[in-house]
Amino acid sequence: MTVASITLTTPAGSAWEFVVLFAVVILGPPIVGRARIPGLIGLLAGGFVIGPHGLNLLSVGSTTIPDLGQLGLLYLMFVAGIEIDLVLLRGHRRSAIAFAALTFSFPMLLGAVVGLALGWSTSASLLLGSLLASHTLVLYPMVAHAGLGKDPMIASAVGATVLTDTVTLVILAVIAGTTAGSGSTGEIILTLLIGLAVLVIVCFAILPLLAQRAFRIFGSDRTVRYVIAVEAFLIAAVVAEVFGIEGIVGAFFAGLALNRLVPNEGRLMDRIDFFGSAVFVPVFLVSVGLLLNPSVMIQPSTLALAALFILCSTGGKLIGSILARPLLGATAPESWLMWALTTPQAAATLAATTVGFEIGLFDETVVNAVLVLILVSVIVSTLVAERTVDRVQLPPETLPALGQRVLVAVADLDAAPIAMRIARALATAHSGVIEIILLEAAGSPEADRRANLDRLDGLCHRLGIDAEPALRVTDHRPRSTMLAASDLVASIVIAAGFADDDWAQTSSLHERAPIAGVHGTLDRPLTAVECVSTPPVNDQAGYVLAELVAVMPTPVSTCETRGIALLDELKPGQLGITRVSGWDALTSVRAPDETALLLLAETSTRHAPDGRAGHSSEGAAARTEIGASGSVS
Amino acid sequence: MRLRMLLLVSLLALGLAGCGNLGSASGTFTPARRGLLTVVTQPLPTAGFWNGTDARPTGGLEYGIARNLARRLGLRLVVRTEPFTRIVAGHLDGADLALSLITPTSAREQVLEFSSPYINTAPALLVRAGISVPDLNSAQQLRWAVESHTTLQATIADVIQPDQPPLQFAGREGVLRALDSGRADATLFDLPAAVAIAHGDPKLTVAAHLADTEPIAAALPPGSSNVQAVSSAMRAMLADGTIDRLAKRWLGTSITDSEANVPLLRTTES
Repeated sequence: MTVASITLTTPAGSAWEFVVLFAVVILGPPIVGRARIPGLIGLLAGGFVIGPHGLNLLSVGSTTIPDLGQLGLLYLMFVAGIEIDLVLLRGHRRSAIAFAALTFSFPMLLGAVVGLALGWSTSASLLLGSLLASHTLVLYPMVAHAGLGKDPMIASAVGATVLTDTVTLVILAVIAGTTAGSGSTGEIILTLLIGLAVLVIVCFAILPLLAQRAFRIFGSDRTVRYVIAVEAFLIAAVVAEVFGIEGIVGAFFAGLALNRLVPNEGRLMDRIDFFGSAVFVPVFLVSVGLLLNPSVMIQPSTLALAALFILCSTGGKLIGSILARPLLGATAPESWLMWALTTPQAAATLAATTVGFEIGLFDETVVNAVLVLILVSVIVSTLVAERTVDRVQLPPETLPALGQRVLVAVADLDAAPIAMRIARALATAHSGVIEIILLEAAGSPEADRRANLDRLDGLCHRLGIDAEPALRVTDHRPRSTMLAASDLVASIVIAAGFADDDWAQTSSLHERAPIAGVHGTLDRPLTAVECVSTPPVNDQAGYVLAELVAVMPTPVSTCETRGIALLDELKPGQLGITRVSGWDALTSVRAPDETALLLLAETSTRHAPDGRAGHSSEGAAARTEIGASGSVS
Repeated sequence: MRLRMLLLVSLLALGLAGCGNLGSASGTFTPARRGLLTVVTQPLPTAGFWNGTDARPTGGLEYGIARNLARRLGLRLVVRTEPFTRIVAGHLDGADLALSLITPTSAREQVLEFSSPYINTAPALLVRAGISVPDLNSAQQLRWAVESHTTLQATIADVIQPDQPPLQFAGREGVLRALDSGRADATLFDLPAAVAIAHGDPKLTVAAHLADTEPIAAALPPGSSNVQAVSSAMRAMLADGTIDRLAKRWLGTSITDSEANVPLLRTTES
């Protein structure tokens, strides 16, 4: 283009495509957000606007966005796996499985029957059924924000998601493998079975170990921790593809496998979410939007197909939710909310549809009909959830799992290693996060404070703990600790190296989190430390003690001696775990050389509303186990 | 509950009735002539893509694709030839589709429909053996030949920008003759085509490829209702490795390998 004597070049190339892409990412979600439509619809619509059926802003043959979209699809499925609250699934295992069966089987059946009735191939019909049966927890943040996250029925619906998504992806793996694979059917199925077995072993046995080790060895840099997580799901995707299984299955499995290592409220999860929301997932959604073709979408056959999909998916899930009332004891509002939670179609649906399109099983008509389904399912379920959420009775308040947010307050750096190791064991067991504060006296030199903070930061890296220690200058360490516990909504406080501090003065502050004091300079992995505990007692402190004992990575032997008398029994290299009755004992006790002590203050245990000491259902399970055996092992 | 079920079933039945013409999830194909898949291409041979003669094609990547497509659709393959310029001008003359190394462009989209691409490839520099093209400057000093009415003509003008205007020929045979006779030093072809030509002619070699890729797709008559079915079949052939197997057989290299084995010529756009 020549304007006067200036020659201009039509924008093209990767930079231009990213300019257009990020414009969609910036503008799409807020524009649709004004109509209270979820942002993903804005990204899909944005993809259409810039795509070949819209303004055609991308050059013909450009593969930048579609290729990056493929990576985004893997990322999306990884995030879907890693974000799922497996604690809820464990806590409501039976009802989650039952509801998963209900909410999956009816849409699956209806979808497959409709596909066959339309004259589709068996593969296409089964893939249709499975994609209609999957769902994405688009509305869970809204429901959790309303305080219903712990409602047993809602928790069951959330727990069911991991099962429905897994079954959907396994069906996808089988169908894609048999459709796109070469060789006899028997060979293909054998390859898929071996592949799935290898994938499960790699994802659930090898990857977590490798990731954990990599976090410890290379994870001092937070960027590297993120890259390790990305590398993990890419490895899983490659392993899947080697066996002719779609990479998204591997990515999803990798997400599930690393779920425990990457707590939802942790810093690494923040980074995974950040990059996912900023680049990878939007790129995928925009790349799907490129397929959106209004001339196909408004055809009567596409709209009729979309109507069928909507009927099969929402209708099938409605039947499942209605049956949940008598079978699971859900109330009417609860069953509506379960329906609203499990109706939105997004991640798994888009993934299965995209793969079906890429392997030539689905055409543009099906893709556009699915996009209509996504739009309708998200809008309708949002409306239903908004109207229902206030009608569900709030569940009785339960205390968080003990390891949900562990606060380590460090007064003495020498006691920090063992305290941080205990915190890590507790947080890992409950998929929780660790917060660390360094307490420095008000008059201490600035240089010393900085040096100590750097040392603590280094210790975090050495132990593979994804936390950023914060400095708190104080003239009363227990008070500052308890205020920090309130700030951070800690589920337990582990006070490291407090000596002769007056905790009793903080009695008005420590209603929520139990306090455990750690003394001693034992700096060895917990697996190399022999743990000795006093017997648990059936009171609140006893339950907390039992949970602390239960998270120890090696069997804990029981010492009949109670309280601080355990001190006399401790041998070098041992960690003693016990309860102490008074505040004074929490700080005045000194661990013998080469030993460590974890003291739990009886007076600091928390009360559940019904008067029982309560944590999560998982905690309850641990208590039952201990009570039944009479000893801790 | 019973009423809801009845309502659901009724709505399903209505929806099914509304989708009566959707016989396949991957699109339906209605041939121009019953039982036949008529494919048009430029006069044979096109090395590696259409081997043999107009009357008797014997092999080649696009011939293999046509045969595979006919088998998937349950039709018998019939091949006709037309000059490339007529094909890209929209004159398919009753054929179901054209397979002739056609890159979709906005001008061609005015007169043709295009399927999903079956190859995404970069233009490659086919030169006389012994000529090396290490950089853009060397490329600009060569004498260029090009087949007119192709997208490669514009690529030479816009990206290579040779010092002398390129020689233009109506067909690829003229271009190849110019190279053989020494009237021209270099030309551009789609990389797989260049590789196939160099494979069969020791006097020619593929010196480099450009960075930007172009899709190659099947062309269908305007308004054809078969686009989706052909597109689905192309994607299926890519996914199950059919096209890569055909490329290895007829071009001597897979589509992806061919790009990796040829050096990249850096231009101002790459």
